Amino acid sequence: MVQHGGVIMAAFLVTGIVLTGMIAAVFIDHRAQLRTLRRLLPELSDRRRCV
Amino acid sequence: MKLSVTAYSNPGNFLRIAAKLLPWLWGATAFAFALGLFGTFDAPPDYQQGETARIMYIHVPAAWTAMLAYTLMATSALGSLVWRHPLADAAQKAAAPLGAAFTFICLVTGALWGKPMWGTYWVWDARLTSVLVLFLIYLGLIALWQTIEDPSRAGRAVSIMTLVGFINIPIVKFSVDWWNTLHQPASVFRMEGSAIAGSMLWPLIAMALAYTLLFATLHIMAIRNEIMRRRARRLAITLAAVGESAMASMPPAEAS
Repeated sequence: MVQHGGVIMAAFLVTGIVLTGMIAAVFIDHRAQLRTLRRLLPELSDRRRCV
Repeated sequence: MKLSVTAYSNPGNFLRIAAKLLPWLWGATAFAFALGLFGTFDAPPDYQQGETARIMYIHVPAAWTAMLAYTLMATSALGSLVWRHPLADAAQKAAAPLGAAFTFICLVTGALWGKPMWGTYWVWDARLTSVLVLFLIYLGLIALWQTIEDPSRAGRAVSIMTLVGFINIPIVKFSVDWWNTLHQPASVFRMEGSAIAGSMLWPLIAMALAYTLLFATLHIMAIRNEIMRRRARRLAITLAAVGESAMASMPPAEAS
């Protein structure tokens, strides 16, 4: 059993959760902005032209 | 391909360059994280701290990235105030939540590392307190962006606040030299050279590179999101104005 295994695991877990959350937040925001632009400009439904 | 600085100031050009760059950045980030994590668990345990020293590989790069993000924000603030660079506001706004997240990682992993090594999660020493102040500055700047509706007015206010808050960055860096702290002094970036063994230094550098690449990738994506948000806002205002003028030019409804 690794000494202080609990704090080591907690530190890596917190880091992983925050980094994953950060990545997810940026992707979710991107989808939300795409959806808003598509709603405002329905003729620009092609996502390459939209951004 | 010749690109001038002014070419980047056009949001359209930025979006085109970002679209080409992002797949490569994601690939480089994944590779750097794979290498860094391999090194983190392959490195020998510390002769005093044992396995607990592995927290260093996620704690120290988070601190470096948090300071890098703020330095980038201060540069963008200068670009926004002095040169009115169209992307500077967006770059500044996009970096704040990312910087806050890296500072949060630094604070939490530091506290978890401190408990077995110092016997406490927290002490009010200069390094820890100045990093907490950095985190609070990040939160304050994010809140300031939210309180002012007009992005250009918000940008000016945030730029001034960001430049004022930049005074904290040298305090964070040199706090361990200027005051007696429980936190250890610098051991990598020193005039006398690094105090860390090579077998422990390379994973640290690899993880720092991974964090920096992740920050760069997410920052570019967040700037892209911000540009889209502003386009949507302008479009909504234009559509509302067009709708109002169309309504005004319509003949009044005749009573039947």
